Amino acid sequence: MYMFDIYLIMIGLLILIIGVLVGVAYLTLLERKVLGYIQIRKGPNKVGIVGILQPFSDAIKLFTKEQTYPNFSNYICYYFSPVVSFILSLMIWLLIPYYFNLISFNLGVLFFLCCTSLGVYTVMVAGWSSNSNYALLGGLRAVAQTISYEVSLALILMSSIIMIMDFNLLKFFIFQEYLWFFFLMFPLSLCWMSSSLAETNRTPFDFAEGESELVSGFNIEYSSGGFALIFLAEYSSILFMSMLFVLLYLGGFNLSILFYLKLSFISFLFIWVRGTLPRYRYDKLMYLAWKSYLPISLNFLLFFLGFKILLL
Amino acid sequence: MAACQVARKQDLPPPGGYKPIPYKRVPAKTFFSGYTMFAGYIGITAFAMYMYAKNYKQITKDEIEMRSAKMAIFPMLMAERDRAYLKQLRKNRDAERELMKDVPGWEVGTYYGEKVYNLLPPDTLVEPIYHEYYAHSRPYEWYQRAYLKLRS
Repeated sequence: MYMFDIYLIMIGLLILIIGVLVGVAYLTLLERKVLGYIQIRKGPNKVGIVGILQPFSDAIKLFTKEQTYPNFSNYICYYFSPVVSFILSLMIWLLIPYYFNLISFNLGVLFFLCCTSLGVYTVMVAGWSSNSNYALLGGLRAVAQTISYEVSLALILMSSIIMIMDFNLLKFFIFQEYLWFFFLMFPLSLCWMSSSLAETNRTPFDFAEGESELVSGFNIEYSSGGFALIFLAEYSSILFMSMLFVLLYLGGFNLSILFYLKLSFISFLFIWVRGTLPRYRYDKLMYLAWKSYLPISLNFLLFFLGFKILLL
Repeated sequence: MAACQVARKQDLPPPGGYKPIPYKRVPAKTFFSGYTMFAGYIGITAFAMYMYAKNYKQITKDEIEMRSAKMAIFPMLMAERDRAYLKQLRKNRDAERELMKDVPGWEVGTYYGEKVYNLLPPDTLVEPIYHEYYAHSRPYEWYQRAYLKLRS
């Protein structure tokens, strides 16, 4: 490690961050466009050529507005929890299989679990420190949902880890060269998909902020910059979850543009689900996590463990 | 009193009455029966397991090949390393001779003709310490090497 390498890593990180942010910006645009066409209307199409510059206009608008803060909030916690959640969601992107090994994680899966678990705290703190009943209740809803689904997420992940016997995300490619894990563990991959929908608080399970029935959730007291940061963190975690789906089940990182196409398709799927499915019921959501996904993932874990032992 | 001239059209049901309201449940179309789905699942999983087993065998083979290649090339790498080491020792000796040629009574490898290690038999290779090994090289190389040595 010479200074030169350190510079290279810094440049790589910068490119990564910029890429993620631009990706998030255009994911929001894609979402608005797709939702628009699903509901037979046009999405944003005025700013720029056909609405190309809409996300930037939104970002500029959000960041130039005045940020209000509640008088009785716990100011430091209130102010910094969106920042921390944004930083965490950028940090998690270190895991991306980079073309020239930005950082080669041997324990990448563990890092992912750590970062998502920490992300829950920011939601909790954001809800609590706003010192408002709605924010507190919204935060509690979000936290209960997120940690429940984290359990099933980790257990589903265990099966994949057993199959590759490693924590390195790059290893998923060489084990899927012949056939994708999507076919090997089809039901599990569907479980993973819906768990990641719940984990990122996306639509069929968006009880953290159901706009129409519930008052907006933990982020009700946030405006301008803080809100933008929460928003960015959410969307970058959506992108990350879709990348993880591609890595785990759709053939891994195979050094081709196909990887990114698959990633885009999965993130389109997230949006498609939002445009199609009605919201679930909260108690059913909890039962789904604890009574369906937990036993299913445990049984599959046993099954794949046996299979792996059989092969050894 | 003039009546309204416009012929009024009363809002009435169409002739023959309204069509019956379709209140019957229309279930989603099912493409596969439960048995077919189970059979398909078992078939796909069995095929995937077969492919996984093949893949796993291939990976094990590759790992063994990589390990054997490493083992095969290891002696050569060691020999190359030793050769480079000895070459550098020679270079150090020559550099020292060149450097100290104006000092009267200086003999390379000794302290003014006095042996450094009294108990060692002559012609023993005494490995120099790190700083002595890099004494005559460029500071940049010494620094790089030191960085690697300290950080690894």
